[in-house]
Amino acid sequence: MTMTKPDHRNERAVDAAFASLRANPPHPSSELFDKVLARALAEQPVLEGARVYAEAEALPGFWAEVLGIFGGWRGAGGLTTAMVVGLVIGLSGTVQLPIYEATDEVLDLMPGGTEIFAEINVENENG
Amino acid sequence: MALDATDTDEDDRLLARYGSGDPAAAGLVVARFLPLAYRIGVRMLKDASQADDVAQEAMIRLFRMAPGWQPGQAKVTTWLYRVTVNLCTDHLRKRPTLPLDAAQDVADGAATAEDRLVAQDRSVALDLALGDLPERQRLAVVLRHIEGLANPEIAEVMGIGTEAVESLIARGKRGLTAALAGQRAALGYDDD
Repeated sequence: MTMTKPDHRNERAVDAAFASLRANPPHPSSELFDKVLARALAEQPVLEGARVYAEAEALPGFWAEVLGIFGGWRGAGGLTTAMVVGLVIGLSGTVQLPIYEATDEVLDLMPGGTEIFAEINVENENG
Repeated sequence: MALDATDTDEDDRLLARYGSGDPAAAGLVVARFLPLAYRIGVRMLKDASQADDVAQEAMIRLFRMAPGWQPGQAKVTTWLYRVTVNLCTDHLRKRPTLPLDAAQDVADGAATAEDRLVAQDRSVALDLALGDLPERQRLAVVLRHIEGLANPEIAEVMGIGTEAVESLIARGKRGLTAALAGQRAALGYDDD
């Protein structure tokens, strides 16, 4: 009886078959994908910042840089939306601010109003 | 198909985005990780319907884990492999145990001896032979030679030592080599 030499072609054949399996993996159906995606959205935490985050993605580059001043949305998350909007309006120059030149003229806008301002300042300091 | 450090970092960032509520990340997470879970389900269970169930359950666990995921401590894919494998194991243990002869007559698509003899596609022949391996050998071989994981990662997925992984892979591959050796002529291997 003739002894058969170790046949490495068998191993190479198995390796080739593995390569074929790697190249042709089974894919999930579109139905499974849609079902899992719906579940992903249902399970996902809903945070207030998420809606603001989605809007920020559409900002042109300049405003994204403005946002970067505050450390991106994570840093800006501490600011109220109104504050951020106000800042944007101010920087955009859409509101024309009058330019006052320094003069020696004193305008008394509120005769006797000094005491009132003092009271307001105290209220602000006390929060 | 093995991932490098860049893929690991990107997976961490993607999962963090999903966990922090970024709706755009939901679709990306599904596209990135569902195929992995599905592949393992198909390879281990040989049943598309059960593979769907396992993949969906594994992904649900991923979604729930995401908000608490700690980047840099482990790979998301390793975690998902482990969860999916455990779910597959649960399914396999629930299957009724059939006598060896009866198993070949099951009409649910399981391969018969005739299927193997007529199989002309090498990958189909190998896939059929994989189904005949003991569960742990099959899993180790699939993770190593199809999913492309390194042995230490396979050890982490299976919860065993690296030497045990090497032994399972070696035994599994010997079994596959022997199974396909008898079909070399029919499958055209001798033409290589």
